[in-house]
Amino acid sequence: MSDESIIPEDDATRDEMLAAELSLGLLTGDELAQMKRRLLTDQKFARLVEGWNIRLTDLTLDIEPIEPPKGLFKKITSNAYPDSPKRLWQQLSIFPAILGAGAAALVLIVALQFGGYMSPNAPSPSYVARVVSQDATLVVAAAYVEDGGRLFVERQTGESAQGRSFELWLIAGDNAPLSLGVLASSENINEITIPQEYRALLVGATLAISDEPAGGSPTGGPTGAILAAGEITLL
Amino acid sequence: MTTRDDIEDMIHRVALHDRGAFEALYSATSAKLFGIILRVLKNRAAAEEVLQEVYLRLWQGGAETFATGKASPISWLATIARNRAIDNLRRTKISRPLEDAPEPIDPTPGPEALAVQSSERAQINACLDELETDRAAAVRGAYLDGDTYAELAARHGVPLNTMRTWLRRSLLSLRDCLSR
Repeated sequence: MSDESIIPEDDATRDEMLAAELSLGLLTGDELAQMKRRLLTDQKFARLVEGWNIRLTDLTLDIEPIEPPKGLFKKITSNAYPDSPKRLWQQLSIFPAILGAGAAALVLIVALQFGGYMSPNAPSPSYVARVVSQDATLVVAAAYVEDGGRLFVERQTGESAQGRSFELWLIAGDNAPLSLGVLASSENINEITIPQEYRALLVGATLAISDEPAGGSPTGGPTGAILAAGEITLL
Repeated sequence: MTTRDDIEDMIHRVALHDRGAFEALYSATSAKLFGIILRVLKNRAAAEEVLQEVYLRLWQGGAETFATGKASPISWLATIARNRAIDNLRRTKISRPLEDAPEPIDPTPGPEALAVQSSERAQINACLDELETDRAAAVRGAYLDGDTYAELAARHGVPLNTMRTWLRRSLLSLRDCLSR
């Protein structure tokens, strides 16, 4: 597209116009590629573009602020902060492949030591679990890190019903189920700190998920249907 | 009260990965940026995604590129938000349902830093008012709706090159008016 003949203009005016068009996002193809390059190498041109950015930004002055939804900042930090449960889970990325392998069973719980494979700063999980309901509409994977007694729980498939919550239970032997907490419906990945006195019970116990009123069981024991459960076994 | 200097300071501290500053910056600026992104995209889900992207990139190094003394910190952030929204629009240029258009919720103006001096607001609008109506609309359309030359030409029923000449002339007049 060549229209230099249409507006009589010197080089300075031409640059000014290209800067404005780049700022507006009106350039395409080769011209766009050239001007993007120029923006990085030609300081004078970069200043022109900056000038247009500033001028045109005033078109946003009239736009009313609108509060973004409540949980959005948390979503941002769960991607931004390296010690967020989401990022830590991603560092355990060796697991999903393993966890996805044998989903036929109602529940498959695996205990593994991965110390040697983990990067130096990544947490080193001792046990992992995959909790799948019979119809596979609820798939939850978990990894337990002994350091700090942290259980990372990823809800891979399945959402609690409207106004209901998933609650996670630890069932050791004939003992009554011990609540490990409610899985936040807004988060795919939850980090749960296992109370000190429960930690020794993990191996050989059962992880279970029940359907509870929003916020969790009011009684301290499961009140709704057990959706998925299974024995923890050491490999 | 959050001032322009406060926001500048927050951006500099975000560049150093100060989490308190990141949260403060988000509290002070996210409503304004969300408003801008929604205005461009007219789709809440997409706007939420772009807003996340804007702040994530700020945290992941974007804040380091802020240069004090050039644009005001809010202009700088607004430019980033607008540009990311336009990028998203271009990537997914499909007709978006109108019912997703933002309801103007809670017109509480954000922190004071975001409050606009009326003279500034008047100036860009007054300068656009000096242009012919359809030309002012074309400038706004390109900036706020991501209209391309082809789309503007079709809308105004003129050949592409004519549209480009119009718009370039309008931009020159706009610049001259704003520098008066």
